[in-house]
Amino acid sequence: MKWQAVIGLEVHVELKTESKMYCNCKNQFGGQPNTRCCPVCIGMPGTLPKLNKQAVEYAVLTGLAVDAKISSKTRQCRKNYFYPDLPKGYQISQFSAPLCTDGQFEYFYNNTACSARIRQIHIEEDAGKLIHSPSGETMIDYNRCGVPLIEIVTQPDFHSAEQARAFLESLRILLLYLGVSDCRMQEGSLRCDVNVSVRPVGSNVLMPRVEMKNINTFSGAERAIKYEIQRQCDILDNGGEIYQETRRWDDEANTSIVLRTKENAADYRYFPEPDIPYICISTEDVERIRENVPELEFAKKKRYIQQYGLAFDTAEQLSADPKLALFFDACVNNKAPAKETANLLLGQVLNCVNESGKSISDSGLTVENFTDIISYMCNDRISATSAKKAVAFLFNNAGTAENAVAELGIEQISDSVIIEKLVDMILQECPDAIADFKAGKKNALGYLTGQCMRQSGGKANPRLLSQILNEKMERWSFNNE
Amino acid sequence: MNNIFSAIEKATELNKDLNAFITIDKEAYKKCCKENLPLCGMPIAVKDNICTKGMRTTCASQMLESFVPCYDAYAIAALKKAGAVVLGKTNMDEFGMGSTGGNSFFGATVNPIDKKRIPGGSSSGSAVAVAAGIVPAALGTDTGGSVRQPAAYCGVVGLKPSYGAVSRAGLVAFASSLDQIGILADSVDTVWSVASEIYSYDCNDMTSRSINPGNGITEGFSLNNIRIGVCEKYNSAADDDILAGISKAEEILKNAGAEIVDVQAPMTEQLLAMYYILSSAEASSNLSRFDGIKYGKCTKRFSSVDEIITYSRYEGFGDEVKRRILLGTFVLTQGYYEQYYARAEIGRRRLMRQYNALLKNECDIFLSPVTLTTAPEIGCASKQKVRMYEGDYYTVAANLTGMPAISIPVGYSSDGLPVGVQMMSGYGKDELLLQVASLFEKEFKGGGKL
Repeated sequence: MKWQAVIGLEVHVELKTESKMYCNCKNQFGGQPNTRCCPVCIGMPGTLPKLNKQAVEYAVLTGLAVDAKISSKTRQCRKNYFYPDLPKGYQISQFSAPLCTDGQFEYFYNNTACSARIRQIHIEEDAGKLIHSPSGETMIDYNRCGVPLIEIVTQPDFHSAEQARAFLESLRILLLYLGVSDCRMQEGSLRCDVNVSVRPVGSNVLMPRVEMKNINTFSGAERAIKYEIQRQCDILDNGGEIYQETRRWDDEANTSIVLRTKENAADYRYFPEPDIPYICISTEDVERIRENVPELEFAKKKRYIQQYGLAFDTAEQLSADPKLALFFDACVNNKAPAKETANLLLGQVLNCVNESGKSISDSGLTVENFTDIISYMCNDRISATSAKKAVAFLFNNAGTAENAVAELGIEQISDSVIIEKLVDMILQECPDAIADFKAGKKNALGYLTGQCMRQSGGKANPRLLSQILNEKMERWSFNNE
Repeated sequence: MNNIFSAIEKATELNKDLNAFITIDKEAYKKCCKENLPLCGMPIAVKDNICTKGMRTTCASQMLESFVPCYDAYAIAALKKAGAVVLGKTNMDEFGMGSTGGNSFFGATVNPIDKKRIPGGSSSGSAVAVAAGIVPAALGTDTGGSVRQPAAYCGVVGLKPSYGAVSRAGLVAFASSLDQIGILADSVDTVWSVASEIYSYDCNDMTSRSINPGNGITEGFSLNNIRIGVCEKYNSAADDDILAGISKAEEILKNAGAEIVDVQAPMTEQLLAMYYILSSAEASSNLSRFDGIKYGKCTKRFSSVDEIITYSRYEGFGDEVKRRILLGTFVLTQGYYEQYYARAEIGRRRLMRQYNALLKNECDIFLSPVTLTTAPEIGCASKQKVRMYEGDYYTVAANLTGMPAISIPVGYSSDGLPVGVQMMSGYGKDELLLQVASLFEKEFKGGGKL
C-alpha cells in the first residue's frame, strides 16, 4: 500500500441536561415540532442567553475523563453564518479558548491498546432541524435549537476506518459511563464529522484533508472513511491532486458530493460572545467535579478480573455495557457472589433485555430481588434452572424474589430427611429397577432418579437426591448381600 | 388617571408636528394603578427598541414594522410593577444607529425648541416627549451617546447608567457590550425615581450587576471636596456656546465648594475609531437574526432560501443600518480581525484602565461637553456619512468604559438653543454621580442665557 490514511474526528455530543444550553426549555428528544422553544432559543429580538451550569460541568467531567487540561477562564464565541435552522444567525460556540485541551483517550483496536490525542473539547448549542417534505417544501423545527453540545475534536491519530470506528465505539461507552449523554445516534445525540487525508507511507507531513459531513451511524462512518480513502488514493495514483474541501456523505448511495471548496469555505467571523462573561472554573470546582468521574471501562475490566476472578471475556462483556456493569456493581455490593451474578446477568438478564427491548432500569428486576434470587440459588433453595425462570418472571412482573418463588412454585426440597423418606418409598416400590442396577444396567439409576423427582413434584434438590439415592443404592446392595 | 389622559391627548396633538411617537396607547389611562405604588400614575414614553408585551415594537425599522413582542423587557416589567404606565413607543434612529432622529422608517422627529432643528438621536422621540412636556420621564437607550446627546440638544436631563446596572433583557440589541437603557427626564429627581425601579440585578442577563443608584441626596452630602476633573484640550473641540456652558458649570461647582482639577482625558484620538469598530462589529452579528424567516418583514420576491434572507434584509433595513452592518462584517473578516477588531478591543481595555485610574486618583467626577455644538439644522448632515460620527467625540468613552454618565442642561445659547454638560463618575458609582448632578441642578435651577 503506497498511501497511509490519516483520519481525524469531530464528535458532537448532545448533553443530557434538564434544560437547554441558554434557556429554560426542556431538553428532550422528539415531540411535536416547535413545542419546546421560547423567545430565547428562537432568537427573538431583545432576548439574551443564560448559561446552563450543568452543561459546563458535564463538559468539564468529560475533559477530566480524558485527562485534558481544564481552562480556568474560558470564553464563548459567536460563529456567524446565515442558515434557516440557526435563528440568531450565529451559533454560540467556542473558538480561541476552548474549555478543555490536550487530552488523550485509550481504546482497543484489534486487541491492541491505542491512544488518541484529544485536541480539544468545547461547549456550544445545537441548531434546529430542517425537514424536507415529499412535495418539495422545507419546514423548520426549532425544538433542537439551543440543546447543549460538546464537540470533541481529535488529532489525526487514526489510520484506518476500522480504527476510527473502534475509537468511536469506545468513546461512546465512556460517555455512557460518565452519564453526560444517552449517545443515541439514531436520535442525533451523537454525531460525527470525519477528516480524511492520505500521504505516502513513511511521511509525516499532513496533506490537504477532506471533511465529510452527514454521517449518522458508526458503520456509516466506517463506510464513509473507506470510500474517501479509496477516492483519494485513486486520484493520487492517477497523478492528480487533493484539494481541501467539504463533502456530504450519502450512505444509501455509498458516495459523497462536494459541498464547499476551500475557495468558498465559510468565514465565520468569530468574536467573543459579549452577552456571556468569562466562565471561571476554580481548582475547587474541578476537584469537586473530578469526584464524579466514575470507574471507567478499563479500570473496571481489570478490577473484575483481579478482584473477582472473572474470566477475561466475562469481564470484557460486562464492562463494555455501563448499565449492566453498574447493576453488577450494585449487586456485588449487596453481597451477591460475583461469578454467579455475572453469568446470570450476561445470560438470562441480557436475553430478557434483548427480547423485550427494555433496559434493566425499566424492567421489574431490581438489585434487591436479583441478589435474593442468586442467594436462593447458592443456598440450594432453588435450582439453577429455576433461578433463570425466576429472573425472567421478575424482569417482566417485578415484585419480591420470595413472591416469584411462590408464584412459580420452584422452591426446592433440600431437607435430607424428607428426601430419604422419599427415596426409601420409591426403592420399596421398584425392586425390579434395583435388580437391574445390581445387574449392572446403568440407566436404572436414571429411571429411579426420575421416579423420585416425579414423586417430589419436581422439587427435589437434584444434587441432594442424587447423593442420597446413590448412597442408598450402595447400602441396599450391601444389605441384601 | 387624569394626567395620563391629558398626556395621551398632548402626545397625539403634538405628534403631527413633532413625530415623537410611533405608537400611542390611547387606552393607557385604563392601566392606571389604584394602590400607593412609587410611580403610580406616571406616564412614561418608551423608546421603540425596548420590548413591550402586546404593544408594537418596531425599532423604527420596516423590518419590524408589525412586530408585537409577547414579552416585556425587564425594565418595562419593573416600571409597570411600580405603577407607571407606558404611554407609547417613541421614534428613534433605526435600531439605534444614528444621531439625528432622521434615520427612521416612520419619518424624522423634530426638536420642539426649534422645529427646523434636529432633536438628536438615536433616542430622539424620548427626548422630545420630555422636552415638549408630554411625559415627565422617558426610557431611551445609549450605546454611544444616544440618550445624552438628544438630552443636550433638547434641554432635558439624560442618564446612561453604569453598564450592567439596568438589565438588557428585552432591549433589542445593537452593540451588546455597549448598550444600556437610559432615562430622560425633566429633573434629576425624576431620573432618580425611575432609576430606583429599573436598576436591578437580573439573572436573565448575564452581564447585569447589582448597582445602587440611590434615591435622593443623602444626609450630609455636599459638593465640598468633590474633585471635578476638566481637560481643556479635550473640551477645545467644542464650539463657543458649549464652552460657555462648561465655564458656567465650573463656576457653579466651585462656588458650591467643589475643587476643579486639570486632568488629561485618556486616548482621545482613538475613541471614535474604537467605538465604531466595536459597535459595528457587534451590530453586524446582533442584526443577523433578522432574516425574514421567523418574524419581521419577509420579502415577496425570492426563488431560494438565500434570496429570502438577502432580499428581506435589503428591503427591510435602512441605509445607515446597512452601512454599519457592512462595516462590522468587514472588521470581523478573516485577515482584518487582528488589525481592526482585536486592536480596538485591546485599546478598549487600556481606556478602561486609564479612566479607572483617573476617576480614582485624580478626580471624583469628570466634566466635559456632551456635544460639539448646539442642535444643528435639519438637513445639514454631511454628505460624507463618516463625518457625522465625529459628533460622538464626548459621549463614546462612557460606553467603551461602562462608566455612568449624565447630561444636564446648564442654560441656553445666544440663539436660544439648549446647552448641556456631561458628568461622568467611576464604574458603579451611579449614586455619587446622581448626588453631584442633583446638587448641581439645584444650585442653578432655572438655566438662562449663558
